[in-house]
Amino acid sequence: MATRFDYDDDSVVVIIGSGAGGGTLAHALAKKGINSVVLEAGKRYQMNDIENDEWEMFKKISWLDERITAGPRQLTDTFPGLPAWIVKAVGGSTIHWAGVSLRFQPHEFRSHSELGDIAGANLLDWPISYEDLEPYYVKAERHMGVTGDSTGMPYHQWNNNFKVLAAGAERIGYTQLRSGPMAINTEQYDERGRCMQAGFCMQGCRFGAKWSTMYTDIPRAEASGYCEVRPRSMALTIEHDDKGRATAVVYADGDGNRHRQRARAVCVAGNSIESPRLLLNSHSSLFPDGLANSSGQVGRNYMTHATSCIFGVMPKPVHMHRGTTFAGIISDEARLDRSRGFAGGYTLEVMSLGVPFFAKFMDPSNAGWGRDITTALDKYDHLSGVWICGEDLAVEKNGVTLHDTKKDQHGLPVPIVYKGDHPNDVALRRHGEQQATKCYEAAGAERVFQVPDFPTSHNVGTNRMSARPADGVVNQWGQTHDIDNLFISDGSQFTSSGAENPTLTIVALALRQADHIAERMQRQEI
Amino acid sequence: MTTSSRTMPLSRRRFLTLSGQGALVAGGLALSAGSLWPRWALADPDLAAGLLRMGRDIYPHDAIADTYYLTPLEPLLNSHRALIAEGLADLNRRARDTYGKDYGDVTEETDRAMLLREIEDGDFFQTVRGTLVVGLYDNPELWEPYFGYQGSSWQRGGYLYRGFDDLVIDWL
Repeated sequence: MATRFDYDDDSVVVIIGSGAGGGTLAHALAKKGINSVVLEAGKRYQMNDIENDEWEMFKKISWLDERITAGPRQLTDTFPGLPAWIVKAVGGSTIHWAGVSLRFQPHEFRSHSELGDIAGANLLDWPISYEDLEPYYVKAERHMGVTGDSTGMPYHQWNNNFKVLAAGAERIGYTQLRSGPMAINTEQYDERGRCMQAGFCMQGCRFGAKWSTMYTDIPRAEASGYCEVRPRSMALTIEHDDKGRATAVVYADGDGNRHRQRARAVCVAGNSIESPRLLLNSHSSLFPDGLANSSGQVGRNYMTHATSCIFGVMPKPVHMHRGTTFAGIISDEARLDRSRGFAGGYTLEVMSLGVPFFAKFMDPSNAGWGRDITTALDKYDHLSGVWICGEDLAVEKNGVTLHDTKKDQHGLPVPIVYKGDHPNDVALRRHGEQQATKCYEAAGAERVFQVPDFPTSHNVGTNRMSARPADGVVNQWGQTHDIDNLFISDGSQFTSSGAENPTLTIVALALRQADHIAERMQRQEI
Repeated sequence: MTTSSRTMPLSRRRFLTLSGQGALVAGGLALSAGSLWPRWALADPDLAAGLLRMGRDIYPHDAIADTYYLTPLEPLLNSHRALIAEGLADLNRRARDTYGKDYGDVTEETDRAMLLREIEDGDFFQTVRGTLVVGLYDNPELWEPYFGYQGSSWQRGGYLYRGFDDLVIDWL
């Protein structure tokens, strides 16, 4: 069953990363009979490695290789070595994601047309429309098991945390309140059981009720005989020939030994920090600024969502830790309506943290200690929380660059992850904080407070899609403008961030890309 | 042996008073024979008392016993000995300048907090705080009794039949 491809087999597609983009792509290609080798930097874990323990799972699965947080933002001080909270494991960040599966709105694919030129922003339309992606959204929803119309699975019952937020939201006039769509089974689906409301979605779903490539796409791709997954395999550089075609990926295995896997095509899906880093590290005499970087946009336009959390102390115990972590969605503010003083919209998503992470994140600044903090913690079981998922505008200087001297364990330059707020982000966040506060006040909160950004799990935009090669890195298929057989298959393709969690769109794009790659291969164009 | 043993003459009795209940201190710590004192605290009563006072000022929960503060802070006496000794000595100097007595003898929490605010950007303070924010709040013994947090749930089948949606909002 365990297929093994030869290092010199140049008929395989080499996929770097096994998360929402890479894992989905490997499986989709396998279904078409296309061979692939997946290079995954992280280890392989089993279901019984998944614990309901915030710190243990953080230490076990997070990407903790050295990174430098930079830019005028609090995170630079509070988490100087951890700009992003993402996963290094087979399954990637689909182990950690919370399951919220919203489609982008049609106008979000037309950022520049809708919003025009905004000073300081680097807006661009996607080269695809909502209509182009819609059939793949349906496929993705069925593939992942998203509650709602595409699968027929009902939404979740509202948990306590959502009931509280919803009570306030309804009182301030919000009407678009839903406990889905979520890629978390509410009934048996796709050979996986239903959600047991255990909480700990972000630590990995012990029951497998939440979609993750860890226990769906990856083992199925492997079982097909068309895919070999190599864990603990860190891609170092992508090589090319004289004509500028990608030919191989050099990687380090778990013992530090280097290997060269030859390739018919290379698909990069290492998340929005590692994917551009790999392209930049693959510079050569032919491509001195890095692969696929004729536009100079590799590593730029890094978007994370404009976010903040609001917590309310309620009159009675809520036990927010019970049930799915992101249990409800309010979409009233997701619309585009510039009368609010900002472009783009935001989704309000009810959320919970356990005591360990709540204590860590409540106020990570140097001044975040004392009675103000502990009186909130004393009321932990009375808390309800909401997270603001707001559109973050593309800004060219936000992005990933390579450190001049610092090297990682493989001898590669450490990535510097620079991010500052556009004034629009500030205005959007402030509006979201005010509205969320109103919700909790209307729900009878005794105290409402704000929790600042923590290391972000939504990282997009650093290899963006564009119609013109001068404006971005990849075309509408995720194929790089510069190199025919080099693709980007993760969220770094995003041209805008939307007001929605990225995973569903990453999966839809990966399914669409798989169709395209198969067609191109059939026509012998790759 | 350390600076603080000269500048911070906190007695063993004082430490025990601060600890509140000797039995609670004993509960979670390795003891030397025949004593309520953990070995490290016996060796460094001043440093231990200073760390405990500081921990309780940084994350004050009146109902949580000293042992839950001391246990996670203990390793700092080995791993960051100089930083802790010098930091506490500095804190005492500041306390004497302002209040005419050592930090641990300043009676009002708000007064002690003012002293800590002055040093909160420094390594010493943030090392103690960073250790405690994990050591105190990642202790399952405290979760349910003190915070109402139930910890790991999968082994009990989650909360599907155990109250994930049991809230009745009757206060509005």
